[in-house]
Amino acid sequence: MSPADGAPRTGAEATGAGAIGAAEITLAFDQATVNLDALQRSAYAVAAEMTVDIRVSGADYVCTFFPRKQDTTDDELKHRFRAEVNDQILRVRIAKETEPLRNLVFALAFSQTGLVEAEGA
Amino acid sequence: MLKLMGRADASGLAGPVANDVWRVCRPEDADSDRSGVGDEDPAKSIACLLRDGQAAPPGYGLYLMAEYEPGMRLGTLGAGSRGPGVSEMPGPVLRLGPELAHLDAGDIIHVPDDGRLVTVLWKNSARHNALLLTEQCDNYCLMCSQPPKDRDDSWLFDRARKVISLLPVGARALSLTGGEPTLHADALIGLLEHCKRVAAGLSVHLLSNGRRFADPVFTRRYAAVGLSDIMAGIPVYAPEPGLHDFIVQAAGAFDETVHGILNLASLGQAVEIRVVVQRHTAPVLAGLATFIVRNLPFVAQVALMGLEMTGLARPNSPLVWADPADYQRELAGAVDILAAAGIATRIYNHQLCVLDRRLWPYAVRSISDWKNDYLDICGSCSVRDACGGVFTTSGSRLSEQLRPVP
Amino acid sequence: MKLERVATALPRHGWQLLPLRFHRIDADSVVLTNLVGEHVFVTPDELSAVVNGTCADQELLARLRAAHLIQVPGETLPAELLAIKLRTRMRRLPDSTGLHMFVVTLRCEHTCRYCQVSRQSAAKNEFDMTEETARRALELAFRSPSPHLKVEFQGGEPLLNFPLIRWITAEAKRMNKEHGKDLAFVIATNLALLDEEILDFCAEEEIHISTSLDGPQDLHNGNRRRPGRDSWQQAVAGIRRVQERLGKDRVSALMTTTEASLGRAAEIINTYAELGLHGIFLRPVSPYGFALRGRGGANYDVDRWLQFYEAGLDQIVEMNRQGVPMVEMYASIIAKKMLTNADPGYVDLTSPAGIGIGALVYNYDGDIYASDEGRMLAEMGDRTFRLGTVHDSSYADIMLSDGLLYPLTESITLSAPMCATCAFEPYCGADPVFHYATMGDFTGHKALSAFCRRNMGVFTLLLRKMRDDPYFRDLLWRWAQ
Repeated sequence: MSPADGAPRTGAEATGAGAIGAAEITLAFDQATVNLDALQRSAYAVAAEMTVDIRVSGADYVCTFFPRKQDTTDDELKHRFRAEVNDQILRVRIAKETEPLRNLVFALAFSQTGLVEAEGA
Repeated sequence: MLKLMGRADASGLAGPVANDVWRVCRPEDADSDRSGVGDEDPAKSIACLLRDGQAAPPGYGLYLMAEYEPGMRLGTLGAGSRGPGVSEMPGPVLRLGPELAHLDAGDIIHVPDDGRLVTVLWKNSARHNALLLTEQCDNYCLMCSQPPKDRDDSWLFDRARKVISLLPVGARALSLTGGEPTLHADALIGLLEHCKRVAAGLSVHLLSNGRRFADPVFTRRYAAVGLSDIMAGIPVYAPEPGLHDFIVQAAGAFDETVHGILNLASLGQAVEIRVVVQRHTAPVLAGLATFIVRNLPFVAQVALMGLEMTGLARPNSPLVWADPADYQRELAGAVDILAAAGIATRIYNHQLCVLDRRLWPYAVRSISDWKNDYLDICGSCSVRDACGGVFTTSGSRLSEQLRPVP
Repeated sequence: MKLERVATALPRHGWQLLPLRFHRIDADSVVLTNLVGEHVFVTPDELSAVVNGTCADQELLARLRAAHLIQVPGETLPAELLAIKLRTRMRRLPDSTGLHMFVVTLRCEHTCRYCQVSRQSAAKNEFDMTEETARRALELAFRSPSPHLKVEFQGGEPLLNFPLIRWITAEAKRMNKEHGKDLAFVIATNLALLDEEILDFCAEEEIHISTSLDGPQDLHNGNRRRPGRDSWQQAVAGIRRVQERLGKDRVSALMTTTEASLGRAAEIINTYAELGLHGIFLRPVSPYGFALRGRGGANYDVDRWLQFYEAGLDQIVEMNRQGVPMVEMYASIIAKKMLTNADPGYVDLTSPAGIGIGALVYNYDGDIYASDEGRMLAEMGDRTFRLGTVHDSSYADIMLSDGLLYPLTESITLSAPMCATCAFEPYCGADPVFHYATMGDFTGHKALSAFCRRNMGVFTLLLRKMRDDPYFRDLLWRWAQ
């Protein structure tokens, strides 16, 4: 995925603007390329490994991670979350692109119109 | 191997032959054989076959004399040399050449005006009989064994109608082939209705590319004929349009063919899917089997067929030929998927010696009697009788792995 | 030639995506699935190229087209075929409720460690179903539109109330003269009380026996306690008697996995094979019951169970390879969902959930539950899944009750968070009872759900093995039928 596809901007990591302590693990995403829906879906999906706090800071969404286990490194958490965000962005994009066809398939499936009109069958 | 065509000595004719299609009967079963001619005139459609100087019973429109001696030149058969002479016969006479010595009661033949060439249209003792309905086709398959010809051949339908009228009692199965029979919708529906009227118990196998059945109106007409035992044999060569359309040389064909199959199924019509295994289809056989299982699981059977190297397959040989020995893994993979899904699967036109032993139970001795032959090396083969042999029409293009099974 | 091969090749951006979802199997492999679960493996780069319209691999594009994952704009056939397949999958819905479980008694002579419901009470009339209750339950069962009706006798140990089994069987057959349904009977029994009279009856009425067998003797007897410590001996002898008297295919066994089972998959499977049983269901331990309550699920974690499952599956595949027929039932249910359009209707793996729609449970006292697990929850004091009672509920009351409709609609996977975008949604199902029992709501948080983690693990395992092992793929195709 190229950044143009909506991947998170991985270069700029906020380092605790408004942070309570130095130990906080945060990652910033450019609001222009990553939508909140994808971040929220990602936070939900990684809930077994960490809880995620999402705040708006300037042009960024800043995500703060609270790992459930102490044996994961900060980098591991960040990679894990970035990968999840990438996938969620892709999922959202695919779902949006294919929504009309999906609706068509469901409409065809649940309508009684067969391929040959019913009275012939 | 039977010859379906033979010369005849027409010197016993007084004028043009009264009809072009005749059913053969024997004097000994004459009583039972005058009936069952549909709307044909028995006096112009039952021919009496005489052997070994049999006396000719009166009342037939044509007499066939199957007398010949090996080495004897046709035309020099002397009148009265064996049995009655022409002048003593109660009607027009044709003396058949040695190729047609196999002719027997119940066979149906075509005889032209001048009587010089007799063609067998229905061989009563054969397992397979097919009637060609047209040579026109809207596909142009790379490996077509019957290359399409774009000319008026509507007489073929008329001839088929007569054959069906004359089918002997007990006739079981008939294939209707082309070309593409459904191109002539009215003629085909008329022929099927005729079939229902005069040969209701017949098992009919219609070979079609299925595209016309994409039209629901036509499919409803087809189903409305109400033949009790009819199956459409329709080729699907790939699980997606790109390859299928290329093989049949017609854009949009896959779409129409699959729609056609769905339409037939929705009206309760039996469908067989026919797959010719050639260079392009061999690698996608498993994918095609999966497609059938998922999308067309209702089909009555799937036939996986070896290539008959005749017609267009010959000039296109470098493009289409695949040695069966080289695609056994793909073939077995497809059979496994279809068989696991409970879809009846048959393998046609494959010699047992090149077929994976695991696939033998699916192999059908399918090559028509008049097209099959065995090679010299087949003489010592232990499964020769169970094997269909090779197509005489395939010439020298055969698997390089043919060998007798010990 | 009229049509060049290149003319059938797809140019860049020459295709569009059909509704598809993806899941990363491992670093090199992503599985794509469509609405009905047809799947293709691709690499991560191929996924990007296909989504971005830059893929030039015609062979891959052809496979994706064949599996209805992409199409050429303007085509109508793929959507039509997908709709037909989807409708086929949903076919069972209008025929709701084919399985009706009759808890003819709660009494049992076993005290199994994992059992939540049985009673040792000797007071016969306290925990036995009456004929009147059974009659009303049968009347409700015959109201269901399903053309198939399976009556399963449950307990406790149902053979402790054998006279009622006889009565219900006769009554059901009498009532069926009017309804003409495809009627079948199953007794779920530990076989300890099997005798000639019962065998005669089962032979005459063509009743199927379903029993419990946890594996080798020490494991089984450790789990399933009874006076004399001979539960295993009784079960094995019973299985043999049923096989000899009624036929090999008339008895099947179910195992319950406990922590003690883990690491012993091979022994468990061999026990089944030695008894001539050709199917085994490697089940996870249920989160219900006295022993497990309050621990949020099983007392061993999902990953350990998955190791157990994989070891068992490997063993079963090896047996098949060597010519010993053995089916792992969970894999076969999933295979059906992966490889065919049929929905096996397995209660834990359907959406909408199988509760009520797939099965109804009539408790000894006439209370009606949406599933056996719902009944167990009630025994633990939570009557959320109680739908009514045979004494004063009509069929419509039950099927339209909040106790059924609310969990059904809440848990539908097509709309549940994470399920809706999950590649395995066509293979999986909604289990509102499990999620209610472990998380307190019908939908459940799937990132934290043991149900989700376990099933994701099994789906991934089966797909990976199909991708890597042609023998396994063929075996799964056969199991799918």
